[in-house]
Amino acid sequence: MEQKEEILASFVTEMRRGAIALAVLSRLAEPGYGYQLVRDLAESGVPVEANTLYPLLRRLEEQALLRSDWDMREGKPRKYYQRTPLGTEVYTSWRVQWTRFSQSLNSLLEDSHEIR
Amino acid sequence: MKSDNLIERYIYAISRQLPQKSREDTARELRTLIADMLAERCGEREAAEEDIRAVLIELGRPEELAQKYLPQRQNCLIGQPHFRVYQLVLKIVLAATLFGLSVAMVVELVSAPPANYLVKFGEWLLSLFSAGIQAFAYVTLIFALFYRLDVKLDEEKDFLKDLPELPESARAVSAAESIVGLVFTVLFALAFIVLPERNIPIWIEGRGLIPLLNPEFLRNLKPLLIASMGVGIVNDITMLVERRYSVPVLLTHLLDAFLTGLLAWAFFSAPKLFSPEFLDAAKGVELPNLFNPNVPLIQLWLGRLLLGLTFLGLVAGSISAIAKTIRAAGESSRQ
Repeated sequence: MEQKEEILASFVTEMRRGAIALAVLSRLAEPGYGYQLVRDLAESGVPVEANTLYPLLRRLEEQALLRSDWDMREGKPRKYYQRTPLGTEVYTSWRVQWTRFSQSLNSLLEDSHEIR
Repeated sequence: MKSDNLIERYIYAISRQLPQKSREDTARELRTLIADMLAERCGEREAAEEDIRAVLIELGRPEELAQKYLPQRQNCLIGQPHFRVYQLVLKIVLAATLFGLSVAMVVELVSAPPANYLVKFGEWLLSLFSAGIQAFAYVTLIFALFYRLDVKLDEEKDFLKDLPELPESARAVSAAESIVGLVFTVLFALAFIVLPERNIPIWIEGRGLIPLLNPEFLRNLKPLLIASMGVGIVNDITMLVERRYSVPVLLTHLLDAFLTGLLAWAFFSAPKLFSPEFLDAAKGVELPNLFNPNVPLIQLWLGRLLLGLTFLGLVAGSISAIAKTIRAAGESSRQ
């Protein structure tokens, strides 16, 4: 029983891994900071833990898909991330692929004879 | 104060594992994140130590979080594709070490029988152990460096061309063939370069073990010997890696044959080829001039015949290697 849950959990983790980056890119046409994104995504039904999101933001920045600016005005210094032009290009193309893929997969799943 | 310390220690536990350039930035970002999480948890009230503990536990173990910040490549000492080659080279080097030390011990046992065989055996085990550890360390260090620096392995893009031949194919080079070649090359290197005063030990009744060849001649020939052994080893390793005839194998084979020919010519045309001890022992042998230190073998009909046969063998081997390479190339282009 436990084994079944472990297998399922690893599948779900694999499935979410890439998709989370797409979700993050989708939210950053305008500048946003890490914790704001955590709340934002959770509200949209795509919960991502902070310890996954923060390293991901850093990685996307290293890949030049995001750029960042520190805002020191408030008491806490905040790092705001925003899509670069390259980030927008990648996001747009990725989004097209995602839509196509998910539509195909959905129709594949609907075709199967499982009880829904 | 105490709980502030907890947060700072947590952040430090992460940032010290990160590259210098992103440390400060990440620490600052995490500090704000923790403050945000505490603010959400506590609202207006002051955060208690248990709130801080709860938030840090939610963020997870510092080493795991640091791991997520690091690029995937850095997570292991030697990763693919370097690991595959590393394993192969390690096996060959360890086997050659074992074999070389064993042969060295046998030579020593024969040339100077020890008083205590058990002590000798213990010494051999000890030398095996220390040489093995050293070989392992060097190979590992080199490959770890290659992996860290991301040294490109010479891998063909067209991997279909490089699929190994099935064992029954005539074009395939057997691994045994190249391993035997490698072992012999290492043995020759030991005998001629490392221990020239022993070189080819032969047993003469009443005189014990004496070297066949003149050590001084071998010492003078050292650069050519080293070049030839080096190319020989490279040739055997290319064969072992490629497992089939290909252009790199052919090139190293041809170079190897050329150097071997040069070496043979040097041997046959040298005066004082044989060691004084051997010449002394060979006195009275009824072969005119064969063991005359002033007459090179090349000036005798027997010497010329042997040298001619050696050259013939090298040329025939090279032609056969060229033909096999052409056929192997034809075979893979048809696939």
